[in-house]
Amino acid sequence: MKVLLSWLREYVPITLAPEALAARLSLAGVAVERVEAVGGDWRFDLDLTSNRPDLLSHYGVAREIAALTGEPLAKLEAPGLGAQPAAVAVTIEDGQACGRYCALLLEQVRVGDSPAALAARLQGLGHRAINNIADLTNLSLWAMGQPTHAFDADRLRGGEIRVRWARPGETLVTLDEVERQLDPRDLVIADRERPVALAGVMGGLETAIGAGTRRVVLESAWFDPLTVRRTARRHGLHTDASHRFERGADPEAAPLAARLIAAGARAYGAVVAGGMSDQVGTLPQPQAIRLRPAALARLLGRAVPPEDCARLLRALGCDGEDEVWLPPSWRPDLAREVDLIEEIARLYGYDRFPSRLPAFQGEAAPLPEAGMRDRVRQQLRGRGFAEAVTVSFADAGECARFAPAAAPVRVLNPLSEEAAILRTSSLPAMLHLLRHNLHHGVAAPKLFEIGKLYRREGGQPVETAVLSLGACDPGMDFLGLKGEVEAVLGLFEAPSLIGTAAELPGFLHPGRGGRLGELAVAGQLHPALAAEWKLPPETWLAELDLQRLYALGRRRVRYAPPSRYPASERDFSFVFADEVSWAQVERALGAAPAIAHLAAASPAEVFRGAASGEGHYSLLVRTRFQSEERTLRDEEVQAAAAEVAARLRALGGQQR
Amino acid sequence: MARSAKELAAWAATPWPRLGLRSEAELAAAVGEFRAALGAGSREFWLGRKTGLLTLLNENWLKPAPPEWKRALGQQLNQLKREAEARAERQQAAAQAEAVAQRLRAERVDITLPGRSAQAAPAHPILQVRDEIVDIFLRLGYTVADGPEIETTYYNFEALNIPEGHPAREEQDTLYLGPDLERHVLRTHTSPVQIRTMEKQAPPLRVIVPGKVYRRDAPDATHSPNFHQIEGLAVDTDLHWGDLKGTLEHFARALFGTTVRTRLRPSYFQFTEPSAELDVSCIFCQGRGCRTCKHSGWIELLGCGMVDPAVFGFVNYDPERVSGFAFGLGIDRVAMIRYGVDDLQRFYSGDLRFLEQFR
Repeated sequence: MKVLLSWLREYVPITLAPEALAARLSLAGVAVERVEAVGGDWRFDLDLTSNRPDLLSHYGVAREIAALTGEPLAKLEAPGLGAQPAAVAVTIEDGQACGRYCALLLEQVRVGDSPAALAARLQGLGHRAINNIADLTNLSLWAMGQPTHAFDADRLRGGEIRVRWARPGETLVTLDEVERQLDPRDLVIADRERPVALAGVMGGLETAIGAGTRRVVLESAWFDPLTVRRTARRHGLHTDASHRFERGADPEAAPLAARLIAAGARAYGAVVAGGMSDQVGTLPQPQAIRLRPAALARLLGRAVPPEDCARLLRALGCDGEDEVWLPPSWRPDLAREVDLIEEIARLYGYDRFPSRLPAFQGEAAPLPEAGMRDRVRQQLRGRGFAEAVTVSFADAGECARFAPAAAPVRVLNPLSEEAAILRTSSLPAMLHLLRHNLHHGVAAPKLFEIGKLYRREGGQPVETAVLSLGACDPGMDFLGLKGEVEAVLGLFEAPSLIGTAAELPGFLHPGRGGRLGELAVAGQLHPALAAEWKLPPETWLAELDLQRLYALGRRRVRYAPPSRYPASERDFSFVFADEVSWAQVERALGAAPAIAHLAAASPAEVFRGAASGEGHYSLLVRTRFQSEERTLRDEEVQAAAAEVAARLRALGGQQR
Repeated sequence: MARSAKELAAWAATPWPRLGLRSEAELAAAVGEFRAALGAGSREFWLGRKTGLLTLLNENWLKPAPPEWKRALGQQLNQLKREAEARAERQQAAAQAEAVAQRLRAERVDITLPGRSAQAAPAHPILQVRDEIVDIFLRLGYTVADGPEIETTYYNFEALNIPEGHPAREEQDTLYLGPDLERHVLRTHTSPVQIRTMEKQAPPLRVIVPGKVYRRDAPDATHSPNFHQIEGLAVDTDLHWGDLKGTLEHFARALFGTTVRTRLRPSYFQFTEPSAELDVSCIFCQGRGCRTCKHSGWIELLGCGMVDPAVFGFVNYDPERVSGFAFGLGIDRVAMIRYGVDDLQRFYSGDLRFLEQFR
């Protein structure tokens, strides 16, 4: 909201310089966003909170300044209209929705331009002058915050006002020239036959005043905030009127605003015909509030002298003394003791309450999985994977390729189609990151992200923690990726990554991927998908379900003393058929009965080439024999080695 | 006028009487000639076990000497031997030193070339700030809590005293979810975890809640549809406004340094009262005014306030018996301020040219 310094000065003496006034207001909760000089005046741009409808006018801001500076606030008055019978018949169908409706009839109206001074004032606020009558309603809005509306009385059929709910099928063309289908939950102002305005939101085009208007029905009312809010939302409208009614207008302001506008119109030669209709339904009634000094001191940490409390509350318009206060009609936000305490605190000054760093005797614990999570982060960063954070939204089609079974959670009002669901897979986001980096000249991007996946299950949303890894690195191969994933798995009580092609998801290269149940999947992006995504063939991916991983717990260290006796190593060079995997070799060597003293066996060298023969490969198996009790004799090692060779031959291997 | 090595070698190989030396004095003078020549020849030449000059002199000069000469001559030869040894040692040491020096010269590298290392990749800047803030509050006795990102409207709004139809509800640009997930939204703040925590736990309590939150804001330099918040809540029998101030002042100093100044500006949140925004003196211009602080000298850091009694009502806490304070801040914003990042989108780009800078 914008206010002019000259206008504020009509209500309260201001000696502070504009910048100082702005600072003072901001520190009292009336945030001044900007102060600017406009045509010899100063304009303040206020950023107001939704609990303070009373500040949506010059008089409201002046009242706040008076409370802050202790200067006297001028009274807002308008001449009375005398006790004549009301000229406009008003009926209110629902006194809850329309708490008050004041109506006046102005005759001998001559619509023309406003005087230059008034037009200049509107322009100073950044508004356009329309005509003298419309400008009067606007000026009263900016002056005291009460929205009003002027109807062309000759266009109101039956010359009466009915405040009622819209009927099914009714329509209204509003001032913005949009024909609106009315909803039975819309409160409307109607004449005898049809709606002529959306109550508290916008007037109708047909009954709007124009150059030829001679008679005006002036409306000044109080509408229920929620009713106005719903109608405004339903019709996608947000007006100065709805903005104020939604937040709660001052129920006592309606007749005063009508009289102020009438006085203005009289100055243009108009005549007020008869008296004012003032129909009152159900209005919010301010309730007396008990303010206990002890409660104030308990919440704020120190007492505020009672005379200061009383002075500040009175300046805001509260009525009362000592411990019982009646809040003013324009402060719907003051209903409880704590509301008064806040007013006193902010006007007294937040900085006047001494600080204390409170002691605490309870315990402080990190998230149960934070230690595990941070260990995973540390591991991956140490291996050169940079940590990424991405958005949780995803494209439904992209996710379906990577997690076809998951039922996605949809965003009903998404920002774009590419962000229409919450992601069911972390991999599309990872591919986007890799591609972004490649496009920007990063040679071999390696990234990881710890985030969440979202899905629906039995009508309930489910969120799970996920780790994704991605690398576009020609130096990486499947075993390199497997090593990285196993290093993470190895932090937990998890088995290693084993999988067969049959279980692999379709987005991976069928011969270069592995999985560990529901815990982890890792491999090379399928070449067809890589081409589709315009990614290089050497794109490596892994996704780990952190929930399941955390559930396994951190790897427990089990200490075993190193053997005091020397080990013997023996190498076995064999040629195997391609079908024989290392896993088979490992199983054969580990099968019962155990080979005596065999401590370890590892694939020291794997070689495929012409020398091994078509469909075959060479494998160098390195074994280590060791005893915990003594140094092994050569014959013992010989015997065990013979058994190793025998088992390798049994797998179809040929010793070289 | 030292004699040549060859001459001396020939001398030493010859018993002295055959060299025409007659007297003890002449013999001593001849030994003196050897002494004068000590600088020449190797260690082996002088001290070799079989053919070294001193061995030869013992053999050919000392042995044939009359017994009454032997004492003085022996002493003279011993002296000569000690000097030869000392000289040889010096020569050896010098040769060794030269060899070392040569090797060191050869091994010199250009130390101005860039170092080579397999550096650990950096943590994400937002998460660095998150971890730092969490650590500050862990030290103050706060336990870390979290909650779902897909939240019910009850926890996200109603229990926080934001009823249906309240303007504050619309100001948050909520993202709604479906299908068949009516009454669910993407949480617009971490505050629902306040309620979830108080439902589970009786006071006193202190929790800090980091997490992702969502708003329907199109991405630009200062907006993102998802960003990170951290929420704090403390409830006890005697917490007041001064405790809120003291805690947040400590936090601001721990985060930005001891010289930072703070101020509380009144504000409005449905779930706190009194409410405030905490400003910190601009860390770039120390409060003198610059572009970052829009020439105000202050940077808005967080929203806070005393827990509204209505909120206590939702979790069956008695506001007459307990009081507390809550605060919430945007982690992304703090990261932007701390690192001078001009575009919020960079945090979510995964761009290594950006991320690698936050080691």
